[in-house]
Amino acid sequence: MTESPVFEWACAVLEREARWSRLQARGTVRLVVRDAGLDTRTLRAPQLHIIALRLLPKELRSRGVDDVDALCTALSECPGSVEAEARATAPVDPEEVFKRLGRPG
Amino acid sequence: MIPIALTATLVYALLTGAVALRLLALASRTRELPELLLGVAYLLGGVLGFATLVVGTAFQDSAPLLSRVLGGVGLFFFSTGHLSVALMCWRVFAPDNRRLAALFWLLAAVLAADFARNIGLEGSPFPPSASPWYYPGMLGRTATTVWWVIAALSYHGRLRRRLALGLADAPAANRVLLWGLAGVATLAGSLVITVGTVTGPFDLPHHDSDARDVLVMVAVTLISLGAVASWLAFLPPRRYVAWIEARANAAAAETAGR
Repeated sequence: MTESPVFEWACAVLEREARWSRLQARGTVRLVVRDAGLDTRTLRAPQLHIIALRLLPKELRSRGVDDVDALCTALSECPGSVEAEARATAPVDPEEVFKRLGRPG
Repeated sequence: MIPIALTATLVYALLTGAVALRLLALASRTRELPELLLGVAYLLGGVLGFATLVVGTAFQDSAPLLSRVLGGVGLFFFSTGHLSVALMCWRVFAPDNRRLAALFWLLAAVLAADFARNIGLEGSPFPPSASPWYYPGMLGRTATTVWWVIAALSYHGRLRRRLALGLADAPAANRVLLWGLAGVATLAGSLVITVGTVTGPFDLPHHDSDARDVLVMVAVTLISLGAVASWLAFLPPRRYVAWIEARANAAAAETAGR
């Protein structure tokens, strides 16, 4: 299973800034993405922006991470090049299919 | 009871036919697989399959050869429609899942064997329930409907969580829910028919039975409710979509105000 470039970028930032293991960083991001009803394979920058600001702070504080606000702000600003790669490579989210299926002719 | 069943059947045929044509028209423009598969499912499994099987049964005594041909064509449409739904569920919701890929090909093999054996050797689309050959086709088609319900409703559960964060499109989420509910109604209707067949009333086509009439009415009403849900999902009136959007906006405003 290939994860979205946005997911990989968020895990790398968390691993570096929180000085976590790769497993810990990926597990935490995966948990938050799943709690938001999202998929790590199709995660996109606008979605990461919301979960970084609304869900991640609580998770990081509960794990004793320092300067959570600055870290979450950094995570909410995924670079455009990463988002462009996700747009080009991530599989289509079923929600996009169902948006199209009800579009007026 | 008969007028209710006939009205429900008419509602079902009109709504399902309209949804099928709308999805196939969309597929002709977009060239995308999901709308093609759903359009085929509604047209072949929903409208033409049922109609051909019912007409074929009506000619059972007066024109046995025609009845046999119509039964074969009807079963082909019916099973193709079910497989289209299963293929849509696999390709849209979990295209990388190897177990679901194996499940799809298993169901395709079961329904192909069911068609070849029942039409080729027996000349009847649905053997009596006393025959072991009644069960593979029934179970295969029921499995595709169960897959449809699970795929739609579990994905809707995820979309509800996204909606709470403003990360989902409310009409699309409602569309997934309605499609799942259409699956529930279709599954319930087909289970009523299965129970009626296994316990007797539908296995005695030339016997008058009050239970048969009741079961037909219940099954047709359930399947027609499914057609209404499909119509709201894929051919929604503008006022309905506006109402869904207004409800989602009000919920988001309430959440933001907390």
